Order: sequence, then structure tokens, then C-alpha cells
Amino acid sequence: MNKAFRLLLVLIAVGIATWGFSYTYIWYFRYTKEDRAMTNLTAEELVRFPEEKRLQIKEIKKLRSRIINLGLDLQGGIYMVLEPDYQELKKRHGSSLTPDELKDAMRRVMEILRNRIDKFGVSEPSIRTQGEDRIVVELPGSKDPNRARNIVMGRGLLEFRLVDEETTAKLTRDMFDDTGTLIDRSIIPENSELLYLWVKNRFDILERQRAVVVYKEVLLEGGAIKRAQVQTDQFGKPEVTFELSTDGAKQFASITGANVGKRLAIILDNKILSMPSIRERIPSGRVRITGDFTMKDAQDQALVLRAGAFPVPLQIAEQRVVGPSLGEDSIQAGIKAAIIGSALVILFMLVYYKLAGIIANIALVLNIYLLLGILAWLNFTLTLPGIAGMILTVGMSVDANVIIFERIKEELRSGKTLSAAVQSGYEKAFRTILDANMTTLIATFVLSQFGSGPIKGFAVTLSVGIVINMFTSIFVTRLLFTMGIDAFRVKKLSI
Amino acid sequence: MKNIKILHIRKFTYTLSAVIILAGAVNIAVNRGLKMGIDFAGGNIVQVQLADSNITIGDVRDVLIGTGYGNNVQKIDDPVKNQFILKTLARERDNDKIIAEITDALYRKFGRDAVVIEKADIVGPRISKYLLRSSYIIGVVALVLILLYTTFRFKFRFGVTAIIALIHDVLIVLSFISFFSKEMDTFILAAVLTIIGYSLNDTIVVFDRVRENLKSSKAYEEYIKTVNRSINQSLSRTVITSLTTLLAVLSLFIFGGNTMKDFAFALIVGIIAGTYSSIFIASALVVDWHRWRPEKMKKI
Repeated sequence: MNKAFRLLLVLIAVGIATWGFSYTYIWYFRYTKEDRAMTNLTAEELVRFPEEKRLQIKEIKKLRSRIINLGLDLQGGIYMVLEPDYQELKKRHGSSLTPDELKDAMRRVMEILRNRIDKFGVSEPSIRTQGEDRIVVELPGSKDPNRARNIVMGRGLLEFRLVDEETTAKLTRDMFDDTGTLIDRSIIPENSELLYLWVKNRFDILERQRAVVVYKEVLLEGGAIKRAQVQTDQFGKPEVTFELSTDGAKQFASITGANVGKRLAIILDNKILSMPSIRERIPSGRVRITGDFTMKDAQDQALVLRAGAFPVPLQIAEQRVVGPSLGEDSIQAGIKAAIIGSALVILFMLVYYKLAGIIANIALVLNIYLLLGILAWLNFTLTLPGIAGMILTVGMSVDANVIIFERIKEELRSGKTLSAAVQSGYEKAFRTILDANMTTLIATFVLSQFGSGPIKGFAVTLSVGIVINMFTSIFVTRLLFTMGIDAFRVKKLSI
Repeated sequence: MKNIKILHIRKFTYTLSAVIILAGAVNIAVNRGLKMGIDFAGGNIVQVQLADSNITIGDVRDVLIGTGYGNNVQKIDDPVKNQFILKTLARERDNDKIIAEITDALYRKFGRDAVVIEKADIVGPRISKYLLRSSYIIGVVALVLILLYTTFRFKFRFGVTAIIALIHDVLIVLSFISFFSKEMDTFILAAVLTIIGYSLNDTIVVFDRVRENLKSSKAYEEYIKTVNRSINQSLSRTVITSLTTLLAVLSLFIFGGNTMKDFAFALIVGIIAGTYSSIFIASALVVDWHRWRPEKMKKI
């Protein structure tokens, strides 16, 4: 291969990396925080913006798919693995689900989750299935783990709001069209809204029953509910009881105290599921809902209070929550370790190999640069272990050059001229370098097949780093050597 | 070039390795296995940062005891922040409620604004079993592939000794994890697999030299001397590479934050063990094997 061709190849690689990384650069350094935040807007929220702005946001969103994203551990956020609660399932149905039923149920769960999470408005939420019965939910950048958990598990969308009795009483059948939509919306006061009461029919499907006007103000969220269950009173009639957290109990005491006699709507996903009347002030946080319902109704109600309305009860099988400040700390620490580690290695190479060290260091910097470029191409998610993989790449990447330089030194000692020593040094070292890197590649490749996210990040960065390293340390440094020797007519090299 | 008589002290280096590994094995046995982190044992973790630096580990432990979920609290070693890790066993279900109750109790005791939840992890029993099982599979697959590669790459003797050196390194890492009461988790697994790759890498470089040098019949006659010379020839490379890798990993250990500390620790031990074994153990074994059953020259 002639030199010009080699040089061209290196330049092409640098060009591709620059192109790949440019999006990431623009995203993190050219766009403001506000610009970036706009990509989190939901479709509903976007409607409010003028056409021009929307196109701009679309552009930014497109860019997003070509950058190195920060993992949950670096920007904070939530990773959750959900699975059916088989114990509860058995209790409710008496038997386990057939594979088909399970498949169907999981599909519906996915739909519900998608709807809920779309409304949550975090950057790049992701929901995917894993295996037969697991769902992985990732909410990067989510600031409040409890709220996110409540929304995913359904309790965050469960709300207690007062019924606007006055307006509800005014509603008559002729105010609605055939589809049940209110024709003249002006009768609904500013601080209220029209919702519908949904009741399960005999096929166990929720059916819209009648319109009810409720106040917009949310008095209490479902997250305040600690547990809910079905009990029977002294006459054997089923009743639903639930217990509130300490904060929730306080709130509930003042709500009920101020609104005795009124009805409290229990609302899930904007559907009113029941509207019990408040009989008296409830100070203890222990609440009883009585009424004329069957055992099945009561169980459904308790379930909704407990976990929202999934077709199968879900449990959190795995959860990793990283607070935003820890994420921020991790980035700082990771960058610091990477910079100091690289600086130490570069300094060492410079001191030990002098001029040749400069060449190795150019290769090292190029190695990191190409690595970042390729990771950006892969739309890679950078995690803390990923940064660790980079740091390890830095430490190990000079190895190939060390092998080569030591060989060149030996060849020089045996009396060869510089360019002959360089040539045979590279040739003799090549096989060793290839072999030595192969073993680490085998280990990291196997590791990258490991399901767990962070470990994968480590393995992928290290693998890509090693491959690039072989290119830079063998190909690029040799080019630099020969070019340098030719250009400056070097006869002696400090190595 | 200096020629250090490395192989002359092999009785000492064998003994040193044996003592460390034996002590590690005893330590692991006494502690009934390695300490497992929540990845493999299951469990719940709340990592909390408290604004008030006067709050002690005892105060936090009292809060945890108050919730009825045990008393496992650790203080994170940090010069500025007052941070604690609260840990409970995992239940079959409702682990999120355990976490909620613990955070609730912390809020109540120390005030909502003075408590920052840094981390809240759950690993349920099914997941931990799954992670443990896939770790075994990953470990076995990696070992088999590396064995295959080694047999394909080396002649039988060199392959076997390379593998012994590799197992030696892994055992040393595990011993040190046990000595320092670190917990096994997926990170440590990643470190161990990396070490396997790294250690073999070091050994290969030395063995390549040995084989190259053994090709002349005069060198073959002086088997030990030749092997010793080969170690010396690759010595500077072995040491320098370990040094640069150690510099990088040390900076990860010191500056990389708490999450990566144990991972970096395992790597540091592994790199040192790997370097040590490729200089003092692997080639020494080749020499002793040759003394026991001389290898025919053409086979090398």
C-alpha cells in the first residue's frame, strides 16, 4: 500500500468520525437546555406551537437519534422491569393464565403503559418486552421516582376529586347528542370538567354510563394509598377498605371534614370509577367504601385502588432509580477519571518513549476520537461503565505501541538502520498484537451478550475501543513513523 | 540488556501464590461463600443523602429498624456528603412498597427537604436468579471460547499453562474480593471477564517470545535459560503495559465515584495478578513441566 493511499484512509476514518460526532457536539454544546427540553413535549402539547416552531422541534428531534445519549445512571431516571404478580393472579382467578391469555394480557398492559408514559413527558421513554412475561420501562431524566412509579403502576393517575353536584344536577338528556357528547359546553364552569362514570357490564368490560361534572382540583392522588383490600361487614356484605400514608391521611382528614355529605369521585385515566358519598370526617387515614356492590365489584375497586387497572396485576421485578444529583456526580466523576487517566498515560508515554511517545499519543487521542465518532454513529447510550470501558481502552491502547516500540528498540540494538528497524519492528509485532487483542475481544464480546444494560455498555465500548486501537496503533503510527522519517530525514530516533 | 534470573525464585513465587489463594479459599469458606450483592442475592437498596452532616449511622439505622425491615445500613465514605445505603432483603412481591415505606420514614424523621433519595434499587428473587444463572452461562461460555482459542493458538503444554495462569489470576481476584469484604455483582463479573482476557494477553506475549527463541537447537538445549531470556525480553513490555493500564484504572478507582470503586478495585488486583502470573507463574510452569517430561523440540 502506498503512503498516499494510507493517508487517505486515515483521513476518511477521521472524516466519518467527525461527521458522526458532529450531531452529538451540536446537541450538547450548541443547543440550549430549553431546545433540548422541547423534544420531550408530547404530541398534544406540540399542537399549541406555530407551524414553524413545530418543524424546528422536529428537526431537533431528528438530530436526537444520531447522538450519544446519556444513560440512566448519568442523567438520572428510572429503569423498571415489570412482571405479572402470579400470586395475586392465582388468588383472583383461582388458576393461572394459559399462554394465550397471558400473551393477550401482556399486550394490553403494553398499550396501557404506552398511553400513560406518553403523557408523562420524559425524554425518550422506552417500553419493551423481555422474554414472555416481562416488560422493561425506561424513563430517563425522570426527576421524581415516586411519581413515575405511581404512574407506571397506575396509582399516579388515580385521583380523588369532588363531584360538582350543582352543575351535575343541571344536566339533562337533551343536552347531549347521539354519541353522548355535550352540545353546549358553556354550562360547565371554569373550574370543573365533564367526565363519565364507567361501570363494568356483565361481560366484564368497562362501559360508559353517564356524565358527571367534577371539579378540576385534585384533592388526593392514588400514590397516597398504602394498601387496599376487600372486607365484609357484620352482615357479610363486601366493602372496600384502604389505608393512606401519613401525609395522605392528614390531607384526607381535612378534605372529608370540609365536605361531609358530598360525593368523592375516584378517577382513573380520566374515567370515574365510583363516587362514594362522604359520611363523616375521616381522621385516621383508614377509609371504608360501603355500598351495594357484589364481591366481584368490591375486588375490582380494591384492585384499582391498589394498582390501577391492568388486566393482570403487576409487580416490580427489578428497579433501578438514579436521582438527578447522583447522575450529575457520576458524569463529573467519570469525566474527571477519564481526563486524569488519559493525562497520566500520555505523560508516561512521553517521558518513557520521548519522540516515539508523541506518535503513540497521537494514536491514543485519535483512538478516543474515532471511538466517540463510532459510538455516535451507533446512537450509543453512554453509561458510567461505558466511560470505564473508555478509560480501560486508554490504558490498554498504548499496549500495541509498547510492543512495537520495544521491538524497534531491539532491532536498533542489533544494528539495523532506523527505517529497517521500524519496518521489521512492525512486522514482528503484528502477530503478537493481533493475538493479544483477540483474547480480550473474546471476553468482551461474550460479556456484551449479557442482558444487563450497564455491563453491555462497558463491553461494547471496550470491544469497539480495541478494534479501533488495532487500526490506530498499527496502521496510523506506522504511517506517522515512515512519513516522519522521510520528511525530516531522521537517522536517529529517541525511543 | 540485563538478564534477571526470574525463574530461580519460582519456588518462592509458587508458594506466594499458593498462600494467597489458600488464604482466600479459607476466608471464603469461613464466610460461607462470597458476599453477594443484590444483583445475585436479590434485595432492595435505598441510597440517601442527608443535608444534616451531624446525623450518624446510628440515627439512620434506627429509622430502618423502625420500619421493621432489618438494620443493614452502611455509610458511604465521602468527604463532603453525608450518604447512607439502607438495604433490605427482597420479598417475592411488593418490594416497591418496602422502598416507599423506608423513604417515607426517612422523610418523616429528617424532614422532606433535608433528604435526597440518590438511588432506589429493587432486585426481586426471580431477577436475581436469572442474573445469577446468566452469569454462570456467560462465565462458562467465555471460558470455553478462550480455551478453544488457546488450544487452537498454542501447542498443548503452553495452552494448559496459560489456562492455569488465568485461573490463578481469577482466584487471586476472588480472594481479594473476599479479604476486603466486597460484594459480588454484575460489575465484578465484568471485571473478572476483562481480567481473563487481559491476563491471557500478557501470557501470550511472553509465550510468543519463548517459542520464537526455542527454535534454535542451541537455545533448546538450555531450556531454562532460554525461557528466562524470553521473559526478560518481554519484561519491559509487560511492565509498561501493566503500568499504563494501572494508571488508567487507578484514576478510575480514585476519581470515578463510588459506583465504580469496587469494579476498579477488582481490575487493579486482576491486572497486578495477571502481570505477576505471566512473569513468574506461567513460564515457570512450562519450565517445570519440561524438567518433568521433556518436550520434543519439533513439537514446540
